[in-house]
Amino acid sequence: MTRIDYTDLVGGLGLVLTGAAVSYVSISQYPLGTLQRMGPGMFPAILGVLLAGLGVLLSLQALRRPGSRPDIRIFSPLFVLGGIAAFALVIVPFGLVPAILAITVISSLAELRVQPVSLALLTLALCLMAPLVFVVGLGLPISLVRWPF
Amino acid sequence: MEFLANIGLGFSVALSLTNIFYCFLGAFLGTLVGVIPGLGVLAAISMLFPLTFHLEPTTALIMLAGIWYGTTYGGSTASILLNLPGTPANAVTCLDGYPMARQGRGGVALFMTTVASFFGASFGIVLLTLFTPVIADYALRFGSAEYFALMLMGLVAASTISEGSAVKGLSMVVLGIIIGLVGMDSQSATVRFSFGVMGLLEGVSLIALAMGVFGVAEIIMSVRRVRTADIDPETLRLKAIKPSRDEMRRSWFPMLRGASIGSFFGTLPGTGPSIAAFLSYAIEKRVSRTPERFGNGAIEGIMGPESANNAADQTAFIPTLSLGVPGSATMALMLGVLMIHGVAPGPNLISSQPELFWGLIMSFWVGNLILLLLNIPLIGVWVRMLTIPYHILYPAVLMFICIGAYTSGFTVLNVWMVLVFGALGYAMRIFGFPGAPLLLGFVLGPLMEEHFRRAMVLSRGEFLTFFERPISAVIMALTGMILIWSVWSAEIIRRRRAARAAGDGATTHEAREG
Amino acid sequence: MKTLLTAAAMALGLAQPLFAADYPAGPVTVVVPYSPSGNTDVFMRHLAPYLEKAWGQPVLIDNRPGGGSMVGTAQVAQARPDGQTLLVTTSAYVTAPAIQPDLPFDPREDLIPVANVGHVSYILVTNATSDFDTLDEFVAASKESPKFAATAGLGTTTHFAIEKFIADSGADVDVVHFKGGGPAVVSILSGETDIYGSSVSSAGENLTSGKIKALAVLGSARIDAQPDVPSTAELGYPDLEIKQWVGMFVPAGTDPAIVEKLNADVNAALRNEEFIAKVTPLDWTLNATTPEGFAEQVDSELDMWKALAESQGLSQ
Repeated sequence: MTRIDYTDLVGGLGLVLTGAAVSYVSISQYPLGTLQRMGPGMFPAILGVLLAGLGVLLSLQALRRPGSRPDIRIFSPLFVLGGIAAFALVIVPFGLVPAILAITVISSLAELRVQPVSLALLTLALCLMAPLVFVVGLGLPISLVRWPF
Repeated sequence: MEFLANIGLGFSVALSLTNIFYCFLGAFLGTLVGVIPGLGVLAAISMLFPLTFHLEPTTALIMLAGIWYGTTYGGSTASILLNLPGTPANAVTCLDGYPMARQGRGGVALFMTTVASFFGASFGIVLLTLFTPVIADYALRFGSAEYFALMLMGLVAASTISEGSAVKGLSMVVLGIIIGLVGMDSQSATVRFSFGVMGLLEGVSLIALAMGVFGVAEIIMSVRRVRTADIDPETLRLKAIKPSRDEMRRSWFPMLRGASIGSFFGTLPGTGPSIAAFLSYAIEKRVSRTPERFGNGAIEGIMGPESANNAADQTAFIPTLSLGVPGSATMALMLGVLMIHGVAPGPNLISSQPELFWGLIMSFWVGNLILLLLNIPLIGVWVRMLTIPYHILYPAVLMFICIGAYTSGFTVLNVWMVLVFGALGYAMRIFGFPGAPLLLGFVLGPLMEEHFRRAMVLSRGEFLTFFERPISAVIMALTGMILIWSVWSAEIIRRRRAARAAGDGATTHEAREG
Repeated sequence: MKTLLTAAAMALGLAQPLFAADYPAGPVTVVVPYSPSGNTDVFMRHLAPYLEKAWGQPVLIDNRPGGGSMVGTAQVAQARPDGQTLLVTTSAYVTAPAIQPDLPFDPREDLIPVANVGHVSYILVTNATSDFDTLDEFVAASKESPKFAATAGLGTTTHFAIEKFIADSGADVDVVHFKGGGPAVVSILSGETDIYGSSVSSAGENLTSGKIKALAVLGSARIDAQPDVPSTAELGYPDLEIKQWVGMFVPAGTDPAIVEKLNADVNAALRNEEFIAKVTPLDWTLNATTPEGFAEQVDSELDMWKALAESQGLSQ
């Protein structure tokens, strides 16, 4: 337990920053127009102010109530998002099967203990199933394996 | 008597062997596509579209319509089992459906959503049969001010549905609208918030956003926490899909209310099933005597929305067929099928093409019955998915998410967007921001801006227009009431909880939502 | 950037073989940058089956409305130049750039004109319950209480046409933009706006069933599809000769052989008797153009509308 709710305080301040940035970009880069004929900048400018206002409200509430420490994990997001990034990097130059290999292996590391046999079986199964469903079944134009060099 | 003759005519068309077959094909494919996260209605339709040129227009429409309402049936499956909304209209089903599955009541949830879907659809079909011409004229009374007011009401309702503060919900709605504005402005074609990425001209991908914020974030939260051993094998038996008497009792009114809300929103072009489902959820939570059960597996929280989105699916045909105004891309395709065959949709369609109109509507009964029979035996298969150990399930789900994102447009940008929104979704979990309002804000944001700007032109810059036009004023008043009500009731819940917490001296920080 | 994209697409194995003989190798997507049930959309939905027959491939129509047609147009401008993504749009292609300065593409460079399929006239329509029956009564009524005119989007040809009419008649009218002819006609039906420069097919059944009434045809002569409606020239406005054409474009970088084949296939479909019979009641005057001829037309009209917008003082 903490004396004030730091989680909501930081969250609220994050909203304030985001809202301010949105309003700033809208006002400085896009025409605002008039109330009757609004330009592309008006609506997002209003929304930015609204978001910042809600952020202030949330922060103020957070100041007058106790909170608990948020549960932040490092390895789970790292490996899960890393797996997605690997898929994105691999799919175009190398094709579908290597991309599946990359995402399965990397995201499995989020478990923090490797079970080689089950991982190998899973990878094999997915590498067989996905091409069957998406390429053969649905006829989507994705190449399975390629060598770009 | 003429009415009965029309219904007879409709059934004679709908019950021909060819039409039953294509109805089945459409409904089956729709269910399948609804279940696979990332594949949408349009993917299914583009697979079967070439067929439509060689079919009678009525048969073609029956098949396409089957795909359309079939996806909504199937979409709830992924929501309940994986916390991945199969379609945006099913997003709100995640909120209580997924907790139910985690508690081993996945079979009940799947069974009951199928029942709710069938009920909502039937309600919609009855309305469609009785009132198409009347409703079409009514829908015409909605101008830009009314649309804006309606969407505002939907968003405010959505922001209050999740556990926790209304401020957090509202801020996620606003953030969702802002993300929805990325890309070219619908009035002036000015490019906004694209940061020089050409692929963002078309805006952020809805699929990437939904799968990132719901699916990827859920996986990050669940890794190393969820154990399959938590699920009692007893709950996988077919008889475990039977809801308890208490659950049956709780389901009636939500279904009825959901169907009414859904039927109403379905008739308004451009709003449709998603907003109906969100509103229905908000209302169920409001009228409940035990709102704290919502978000923790309350059956009302899946019955209302699933009834609403299916009812809306059916009544969406009203403006399409009677005014020639399609409310969505899928409805536009239906219109296209009509035009290819030289049928002009419009006020005269019902009188000039009675076989087509009544045949199509009566085929909805056939299709929904097929879906009911198709989905219930499948429940056992789906629920078994929960017995797959999580360390095997989640890499497979991630793979489906990535392939789904990539193939929706064949651009890697969508996969990167999944990553960005996965990270955003995880951050939102940490700070306790709800995901469902973000999604609805995103879907409705661009429409809302369009109607807001147009309403301001039509009122010559006068904000008061939203309160002066009678229909709009009523909706705005309702919106205000929802807002006050939710702030007030959230405060009460907070106090109650604080009192309880003070009682046992320990609280856990609740960060759970869809 | 374009070549890079092409290279990437080829590397992906997605680019289709660049031989016109094999073209098209897969489903062809036609982007229509307007909402469904407007003039361009209706025309394309009539044309699609004939192109399918010629190609043996499905033709999918993708409505991408917004920004006075420029949203969908910009999307095709960055599509892969493999002939699998086509744009079918209106003369908004040349009018909108005149008043939309921030377009993310260059209409002269980023798309190749393929064929101008034909043109339609505009008829000024209003709700059947409006208390004016003629154009003169409308102008007079607008001076008592200001009226609203719907357009199919900022910078579209209907926008230019109505602005020209306002300037010539001195009517007190504000314009309201919609995302295509379909929603604009709905706004007339609901009474939200008072007048719209519609094509016959956008107005559709509502005109024949009497839910909306026609006040005048823009231009010097009456049209066969609506022989009882007077032309604006008859009513004393000689300078309103504004028509809407519809044309097909492909992304820059498309193989010239594919452009030629598309042009030939479209022109062949336009000569099909059955097709002609379908669109003639919708007031279509069909064309037979070459890609070069259409390109010259686009080039000169881009300059012409720019000059007109400046002389009329039109802007966002």
